Amino acid sequence: MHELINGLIMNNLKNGILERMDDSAIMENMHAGRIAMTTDSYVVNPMFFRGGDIGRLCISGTVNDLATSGAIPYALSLSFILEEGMDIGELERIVKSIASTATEAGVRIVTGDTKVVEKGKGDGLYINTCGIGHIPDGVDISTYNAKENDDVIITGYMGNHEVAMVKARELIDFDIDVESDVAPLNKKIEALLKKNVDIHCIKDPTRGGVASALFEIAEHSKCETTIQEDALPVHPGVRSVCEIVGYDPLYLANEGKYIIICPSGSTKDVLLEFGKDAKVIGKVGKTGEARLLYETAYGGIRRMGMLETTQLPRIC
Amino acid sequence: MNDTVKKIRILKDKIKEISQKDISIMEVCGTHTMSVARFAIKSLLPDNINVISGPGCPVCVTSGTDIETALTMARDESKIVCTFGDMIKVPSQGDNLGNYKNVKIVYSPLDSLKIAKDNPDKEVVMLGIGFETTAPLIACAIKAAKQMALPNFSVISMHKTVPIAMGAILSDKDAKIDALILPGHVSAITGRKYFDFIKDYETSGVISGFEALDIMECIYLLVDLYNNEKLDVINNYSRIVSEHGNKLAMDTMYDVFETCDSGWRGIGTIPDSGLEIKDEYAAFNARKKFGINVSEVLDPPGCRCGEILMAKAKPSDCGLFGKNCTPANPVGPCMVSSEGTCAAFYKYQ
Amino acid sequence: MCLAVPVKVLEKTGKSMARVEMDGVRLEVSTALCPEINVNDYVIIHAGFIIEKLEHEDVQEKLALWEEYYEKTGQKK
Repeated sequence: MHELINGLIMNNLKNGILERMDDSAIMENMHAGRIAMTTDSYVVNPMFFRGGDIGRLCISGTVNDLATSGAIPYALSLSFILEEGMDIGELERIVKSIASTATEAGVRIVTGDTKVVEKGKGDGLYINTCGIGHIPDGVDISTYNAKENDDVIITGYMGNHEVAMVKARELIDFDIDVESDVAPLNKKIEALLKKNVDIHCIKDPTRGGVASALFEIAEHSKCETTIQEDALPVHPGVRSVCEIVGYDPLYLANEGKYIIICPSGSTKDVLLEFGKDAKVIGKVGKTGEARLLYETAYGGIRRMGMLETTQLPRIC
Repeated sequence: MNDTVKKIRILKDKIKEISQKDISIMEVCGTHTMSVARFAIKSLLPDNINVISGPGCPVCVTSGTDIETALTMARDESKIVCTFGDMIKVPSQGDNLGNYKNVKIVYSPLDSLKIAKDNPDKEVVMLGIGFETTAPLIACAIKAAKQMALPNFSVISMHKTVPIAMGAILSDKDAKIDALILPGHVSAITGRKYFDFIKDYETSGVISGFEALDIMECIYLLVDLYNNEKLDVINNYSRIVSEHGNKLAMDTMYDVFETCDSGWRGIGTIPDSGLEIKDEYAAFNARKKFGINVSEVLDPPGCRCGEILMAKAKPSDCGLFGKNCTPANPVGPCMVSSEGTCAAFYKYQ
Repeated sequence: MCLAVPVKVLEKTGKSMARVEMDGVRLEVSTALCPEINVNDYVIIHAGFIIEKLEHEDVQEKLALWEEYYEKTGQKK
């Protein structure tokens, strides 16, 4: 069993380092002044959904986290915790998805581990990835850097991932044309930095959605941020699901979107890089007090906060 | 600028222009509470108009005893408990339905019938919550179960009806309510005429839809009536609501259910304000089928949900609000339901 | 109190059921409480049931306020 799994992984992911199977991976020095590092564990049910799978997610999530600081992903680790009896065909699909996503992101998996747990002690497969990257000199991007008059950009439709997961979990029996947006975004950030586009903050609005992510930026940067109702990009199918079961798209999870906060001089370049669905959704206001405001199309204003619990389909 | 936006801006100015007296307007329906918060309606109104939330969130008014009854079913692993997502996080004595793997969230009562058919060796218990809009749907499911002779399906009815509870609130001296935003989708079933009784309490009402423009129109109409000391029940949601409602739905509801006394959280028992399954359908009444007997659960100490539902207190008046009681760790049901007064207040203010 | 939304009837799918659509979402709902519906009707659904038909337009404007507005903007009701 172990040999089979190892063979499967090596055949798909070999890169000159991984298949040496040394206890530690040895790489060339990154020659970087600063290194970024991140880790995440992926517990995803179900493992396959429209637009992606746990394999694509475990690479995208980690490289996207690295790139929020402007880091260029350099290497990833990959650990599987497999439940005994996991379908090998499914595992192979996941490993192939990992390989293609890693290629897309331009990152190598240099070390890994596989543990098998007894049947009933896991949900098929858990994955942990850890990533390192180097931050180019002069780049300073963080959620603490939002400045007055900066533009707030979302790089595409909100909430597609969570709606695709709700559908995949069969929580609702709807036909929808919505796919998860899961994708690595690091190449786009790299391209912007190469062009010396000035960016202040990048955040990936995963669990808790765009509103929770913006609230966190407002708290870190101690600023007021206002978003405009009529500027928010929502896929019609996602909007309809929200209306029918009572979700707020601003609190739905995304896996292939960034919130980017930048001086208005950089906005054109950012929108161009991310394509037609990227939109300016608001502005950073005065600094001092952390507040997230939502302005309706007819001039009503309300405050927004973090999402405290997962949204559930409701009748009321 | 589109038409709706223009109209809302006109109404904003008009309301300010005509509104002279202090007025307290209660939205009876929890979905209106959500709309008022989501569309930032309060920020469009002058200070003399006070919009308060009423008892129209079915989760918020469900008594601790009823929640304990549902939990009794969930603790028996041989059963599957089906519920709308609204009920999952309501706490009762440190426990909630979300803690049990055999509790399934359904979108429709029909889903629970399907679960019963697919699991013939398990008892499937549906939690019947909601008002006149939802009760006919549950009644339909019970009738269908009878027709199919489905032996493993039953319902805990916690349904409530609007008029008697509204009467109790309107006649309460401490609850100062001048006008009512009447529930749009309840009215779709009951018809406009059903709400004429509020005039007996010297109160006007307007049946409203749920868009920002609907609610602004409704407030304008209510302020106008109040200024002119006129008493009326207006249907301003005529694209859905008729004078007499959906008769088939009302008949279906009273075919399966009969009125009963019902416990409202924080308010207490209100005679004839609930719906229980008739004897004719007793085989589908989970309380009878499983002989459920739960001793009374008191409201948690310090929780002022009852006064908040009766518009005697604001969420911020409650000592627990935002401290011991948050959406992540709710004490009272007004914080649990996303349409609950406290949750809407916490999220949007 | 009750979340309900307008959808369009696409087809009747057997006894007491209909397939409905709302911009990008299709689902099957019960017509048991509103049997007299036709394909292309707009209806209101709540928890998987059609509860009422929706008139295509706001049949009557309740607010005299809008008379003036329509006059000014040259629109028809």
